Amino acid sequence: MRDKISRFVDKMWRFFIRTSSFVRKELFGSLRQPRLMLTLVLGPFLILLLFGLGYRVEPQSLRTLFVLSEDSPFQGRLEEYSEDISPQLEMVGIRESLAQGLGELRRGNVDLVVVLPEHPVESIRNSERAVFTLYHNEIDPYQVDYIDAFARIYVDELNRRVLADVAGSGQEESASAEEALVQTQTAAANLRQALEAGNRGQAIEHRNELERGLNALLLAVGSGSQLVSDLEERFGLEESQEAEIRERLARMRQLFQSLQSLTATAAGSEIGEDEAEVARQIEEEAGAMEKTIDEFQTIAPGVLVSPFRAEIESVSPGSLRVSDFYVPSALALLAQHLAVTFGALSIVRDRQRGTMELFQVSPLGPLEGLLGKYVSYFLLEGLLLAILTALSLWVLRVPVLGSWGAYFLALSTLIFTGLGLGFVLSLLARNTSQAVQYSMIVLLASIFFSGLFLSLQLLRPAVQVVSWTLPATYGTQMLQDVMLRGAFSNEDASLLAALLGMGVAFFLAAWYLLRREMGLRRIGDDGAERPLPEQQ
Amino acid sequence: MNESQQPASREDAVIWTEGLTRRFGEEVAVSDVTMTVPREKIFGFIGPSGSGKTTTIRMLTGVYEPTSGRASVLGSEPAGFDQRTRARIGYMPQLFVLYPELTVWENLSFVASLYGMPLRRKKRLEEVLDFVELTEDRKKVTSEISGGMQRRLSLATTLVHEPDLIFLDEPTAGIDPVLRRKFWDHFRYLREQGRSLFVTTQYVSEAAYCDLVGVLTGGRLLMVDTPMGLRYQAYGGDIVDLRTEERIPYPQRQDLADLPYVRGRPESVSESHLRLVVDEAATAVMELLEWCKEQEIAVESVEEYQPPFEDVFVELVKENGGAR
Repeated sequence: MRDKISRFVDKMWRFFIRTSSFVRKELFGSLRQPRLMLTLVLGPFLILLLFGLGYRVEPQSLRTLFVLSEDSPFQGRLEEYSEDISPQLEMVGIRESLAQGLGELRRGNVDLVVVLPEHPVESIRNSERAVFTLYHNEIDPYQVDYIDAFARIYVDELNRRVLADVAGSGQEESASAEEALVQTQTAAANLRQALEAGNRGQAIEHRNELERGLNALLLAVGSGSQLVSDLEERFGLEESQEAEIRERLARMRQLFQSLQSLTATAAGSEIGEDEAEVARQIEEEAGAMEKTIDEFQTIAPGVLVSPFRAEIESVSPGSLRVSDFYVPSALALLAQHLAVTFGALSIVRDRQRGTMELFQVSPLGPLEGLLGKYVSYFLLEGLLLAILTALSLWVLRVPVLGSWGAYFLALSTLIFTGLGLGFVLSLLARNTSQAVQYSMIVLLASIFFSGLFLSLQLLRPAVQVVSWTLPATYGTQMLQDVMLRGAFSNEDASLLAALLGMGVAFFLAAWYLLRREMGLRRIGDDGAERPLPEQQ
Repeated sequence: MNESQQPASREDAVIWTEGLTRRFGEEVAVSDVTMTVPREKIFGFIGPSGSGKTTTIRMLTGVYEPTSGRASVLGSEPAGFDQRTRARIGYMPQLFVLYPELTVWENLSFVASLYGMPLRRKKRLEEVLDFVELTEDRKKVTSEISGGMQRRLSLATTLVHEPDLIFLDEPTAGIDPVLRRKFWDHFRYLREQGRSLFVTTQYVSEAAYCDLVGVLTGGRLLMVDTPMGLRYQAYGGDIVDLRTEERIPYPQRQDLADLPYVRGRPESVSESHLRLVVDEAATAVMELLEWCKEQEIAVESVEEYQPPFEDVFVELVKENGGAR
């Protein structure tokens, strides 16, 4: 029994020695190549830094040429319809013909040619919208989208300004309502005083003045307050200002009617206190209306035509820069790419150099060799990513809002899976250049499908299947959540489990293939086995 | 074949094979090799490039499975080598397969770990580096040392775990004669330490350093014998050079050829220099001197001639139907 235990311990100790030999070999070999280490760390970091510094957050300005005829109604107001409307619009000149404008566009002297409508008023009268035509020469779909959005915003802003002008005119009209109100109020006061004094002649004169005032008030209030009225109705305000104005106006008309009949029926008779009371009520109503009309006048025209605006608040912690957003996905992509490349080149290089033959003859088992390589590259890549993480934190100022444990776990699983993928590729490749090609294909697929630049939601479900076969996709999602959201959700836990499962599958596949590689070379009928290095 | 050099039985042999054959598709790389390699000897496996030497080594080390035939190495079939058996084998591939970015010491240590040598092995590593005269170069990065030093490092890694059986695949290929000589000195020293060596080479002259030589050509093993035995087999006997002061006349030459211990017709190297194949050089020299005295031929010298192994090899190949 003791012998058995002793043999087992000896066996395990030798297992450890054989496995650890790769760790020392890889670490010594890599650290002896400082230039390689610098390339592996500084290269990606400088790319991230350059991206962070070079990315323009503000929208691109467009050099714009306007085309309009000499008799265009926009002549003289062009500045108002160009740079003043949109800061992204950089007016570079005016041409009279479209051909001239398009010539400049094709030569690349301008980004945009805007043809203004020749007869906008006629179009509107014919119940047609006047058209601003924008020409561009872009082939980049994103730039085309940008110009489309720019054109929409530009015309919306133009429309809004026109409407604001109209609303401003309405407010000016409401100033005449105020005059009519003063006239009404004065006439009502004079009428009351004449009635109280029992002066019928003056009373009839002031009653006529009051009637003129009321008519003027009716006209002025009707046009000016319509915008407010529509808004109030649309959003269901029970006590709307406009309704109040109309009610007061109606009451004043009603009071005036009763006063008119009263003064008519009482002709030649005594003027009583009732008539004076009606005049007083009209006076009061007019006074109350003055306040409401004042309120309407103080609303800015721009607010009247664009009563709503958006305010965006994020519930995610902290405010992020564009470069912050890309760092987690870049780290995930880099972690995968380094792991795949290390793995892919490792075994195929041993095979090509002939070292694999040495392993085959030695007591080294496939599991020992594979574990040794896993551990060595894991440590090496861990070191590189630790340096990159530190540089990202302290130089790029990218936050890690979540727990470091989750960050470590996500990155470790990603490296493990990436290495497995690399080893499998290495064992399937016939030579180094094929292994490099395989790892480049994985990299290319990751750039497009892992969510680095394109959100997965933009991909069709069938293509998303490709995304989820790439370890970087899982890494990107998890690292974004941990670093930028500060949370590791249940969904992230599922992603971690799936990534780990994928890593284990790659490990088993690599073990199987390496066992086959290190085992006896069976003879195929066609002799088409993977050759050892030419020696004889 | 000199039977005295052969082991008595397969059980005593470090390697034996029977009808060992390896095909790659239609191509036969090694055909029907049957041999027995005794313990604690240097077994030379000699043949031109492409003759199947490396393929044979790969079958004996368990890298290749034979298409047909059997082999036993250290008492086990190569296909079923366990870790203990593997640890008793040292293998030096023909090419330098170690890591160029590591130092001499790190490469040696790496291979020592592959063989599961304990971590307290510094003394052994120093010993083996000293053996191959690389002690002063231990800190040099391997990519920066000469080809000869790389070969020596390869040899050191082959020996570091003190194997019982050492396979050396063309260890002297491409190195200068001085180093080649040193290598053979090392091999002899290892044999004296009780190790068995299986050495392939395409330098036929190196056959002289071996205890036993297998001659391989076109994938076929022509014969296994001692170096002397090979010479004997190549020419059909020992060779003696007879130099006289004057030319031996034709009738006397005819008489010489008819002597019972002389085989075949004497070859005329020059007018006064004849080369004869005899049963046994030691006795033939004395008898030739006697014959010359009887024939009143003034003798300058009579001595055994040992033809270079290149010539021996060519003769053997010729006799056996030439190379494939």
